Amino acid sequence: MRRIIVLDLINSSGVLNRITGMLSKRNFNIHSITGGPSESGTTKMTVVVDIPKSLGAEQLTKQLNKLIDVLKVTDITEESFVERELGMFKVNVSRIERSEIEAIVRPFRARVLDISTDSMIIEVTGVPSKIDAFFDLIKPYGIEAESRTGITAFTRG
Amino acid sequence: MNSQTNHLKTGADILIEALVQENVEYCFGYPGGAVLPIYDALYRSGESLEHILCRHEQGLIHAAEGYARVSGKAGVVFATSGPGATNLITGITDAMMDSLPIVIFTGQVAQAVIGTDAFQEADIIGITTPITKHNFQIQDARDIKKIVKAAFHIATTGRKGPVLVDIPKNIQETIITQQHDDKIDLPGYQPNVIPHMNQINKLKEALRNSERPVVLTGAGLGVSGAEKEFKKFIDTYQIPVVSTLHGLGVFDGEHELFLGMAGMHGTYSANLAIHEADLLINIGSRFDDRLTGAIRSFAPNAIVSHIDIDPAEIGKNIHTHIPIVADAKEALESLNKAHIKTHSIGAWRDKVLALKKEYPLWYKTGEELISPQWLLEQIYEITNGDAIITTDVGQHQMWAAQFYKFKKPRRFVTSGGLGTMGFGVPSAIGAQLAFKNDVVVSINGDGGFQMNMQELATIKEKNLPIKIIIINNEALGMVRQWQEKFYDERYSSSLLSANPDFVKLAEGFGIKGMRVKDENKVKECLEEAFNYDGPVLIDARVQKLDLVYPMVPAGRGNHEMIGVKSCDA
Ligand SMILES: Cc1ncc(C[n+]2csc(CCOP(=O)(O)OP(=O)(O)O)c2C)c(N)n1
Repeated sequence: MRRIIVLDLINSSGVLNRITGMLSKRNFNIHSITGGPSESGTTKMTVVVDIPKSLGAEQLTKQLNKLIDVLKVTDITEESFVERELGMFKVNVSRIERSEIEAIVRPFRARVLDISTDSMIIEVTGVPSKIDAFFDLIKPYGIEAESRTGITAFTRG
Repeated sequence: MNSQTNHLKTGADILIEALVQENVEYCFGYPGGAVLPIYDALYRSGESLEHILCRHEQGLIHAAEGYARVSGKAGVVFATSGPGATNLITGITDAMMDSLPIVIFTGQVAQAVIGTDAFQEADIIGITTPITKHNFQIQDARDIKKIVKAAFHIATTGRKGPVLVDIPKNIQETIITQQHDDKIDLPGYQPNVIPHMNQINKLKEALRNSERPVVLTGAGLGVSGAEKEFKKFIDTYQIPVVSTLHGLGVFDGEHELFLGMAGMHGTYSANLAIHEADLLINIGSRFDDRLTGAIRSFAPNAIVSHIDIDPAEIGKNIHTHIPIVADAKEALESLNKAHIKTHSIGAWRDKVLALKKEYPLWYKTGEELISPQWLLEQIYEITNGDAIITTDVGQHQMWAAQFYKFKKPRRFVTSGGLGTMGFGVPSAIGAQLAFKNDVVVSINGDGGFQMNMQELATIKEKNLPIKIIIINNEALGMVRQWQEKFYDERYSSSLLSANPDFVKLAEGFGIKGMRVKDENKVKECLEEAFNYDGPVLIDARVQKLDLVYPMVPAGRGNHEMIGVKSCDA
């Protein structure tokens, strides 16, 4: 079962270690984790976690809440939320193939960040499934490198 | 040194001041390079703070745990960086599992060399993050008081636990001219102690409708100091009571309604009562697997209500119908205010009390060596059930839990969650220091005794009148028991054929040593030991093949106990 958790944390040294350490100690599998400073001087983190069905989502939020440096835990999985992930791909593209790639880039509102003689670096932002779809289309050209940030999310309203 | 520097305070001085402010009576510690400034400050301070030098860091943290368990106050520990700190790990984990308030101060290499694998550097923050309630590394000497205050606050409130404070050596040496405000500022830590009235009402409703209620007492009940409120609750509703290992003593072990400890080596009546109950009220226990046995057959017919100060414990192991997040005392006070018209539960009570009578704990006496269970009963008698008992881990621990009928809470000092061998001797040091005038008995196996026997030196040095009893079966008894029952008697590395002469060993430490092998001599031996004003070690030779019964085999339900005997049979 996949859960999307938004955390508000005190920005103390080692706080990331506390979060990831607790998750691995409790046998929760981290799918992705993103974070950075937020408006109020705290650290905002978005964690996507796979948990065994038997445990239930409650154990996850309760255990996170127990950490002293955790100010707020919100499980937004069941709420209406906006999520974004950024993917960066270095694709093997010969000069002749460039226009084909550009035709894929446009409808996805992706961006070309760099072009060299035999490769391109492309950035695409969106929900994870959009990035998956984009990846599937450019994969046949040969992916030299792939990096995804994991999602960050807000609830709506 | 000019006269002025005499008045300048270092970080280490501030640390000692902060401990005095927290009313610390004892600190258990061991010096070393990275805590030299702290030890110097301690030497110079002339404060009331007494330092107890144990002989191994594992010994000192277990001593602090013993102190914390019986006093309810924080046990304080000092250790040096690197090996001093890493020697504490077992004890820190033990304190975490058993929710004991411990504040640990470790020295660290100077800030300038952190991360360079400097001499005696260990990443103790990284190492202890999963085994502490929280930890701090002091980065700024002006924060010492603030962090010490926060550490004590976290360790001793909510669900208690160990907190570690790592102090780089240069911070200890910094001359302090200015300090930051020491107000506790922990916005992410607000333990809830007051129960939700809706939930209390649900429990009242369940109690009103119940025909077969049972109450389970856990450690949390003892920690909250709710024994009076609990007694009142039971007096009002006359509900049968069962206990976890750490709940023993919260309710009088001799009370008619007390069925005994439940779980793997609990009584048959306690386990059956849970199995047949229609309402199980758990107060302050975390439903540990040694208690529940196979979860699918734990309390299968019961509405489960769980009162716990730690919300994460509720529903973790056992599906809970009525969760109540609160301090046990607060919850019981709310419950006691109500007048609940309950069903007549007389028939149920009669049934479980008949089970208690019919299937008592049993043992055999009159064999070649002493019966260990009977010996525990003799210890119970000679101490009038009033002693503080510490144990190690193994068969003798279970026998102590079964046969020493604790009357009062916070008198049983044992390693439950982690099951740490080597706990029995050092924990007695802390317990005796907390209650100097009480009788402290340390019950050990011959195996576990040898894991921290160096602490005899500490006992001698402080002349603590602890009565140490080795239940000597010349085996790692609990391991041998499992090998006998489940591994066709293949005693792989569980027989101790080369034990030291424990009497001579005690004498070598300057402690009175005694040996007893014959049941007829036990009374005399115990009388001599308990009348002796000072520490005594008794090497009690017990039946080598005795087993802890009854027991729930691994993976089975608690109703499937083996080794249950009817007293009519
Ligand atoms: C540090 C540690 N190592 C190993 C064990 C596993 N263990 C549990 S009970 C036991 C045997 C204890 O033997 P002894 O101290 O002689 O006590 P007895 O069971 O004979 O009463 C062992 C080895 C443990 N609990 N703790």
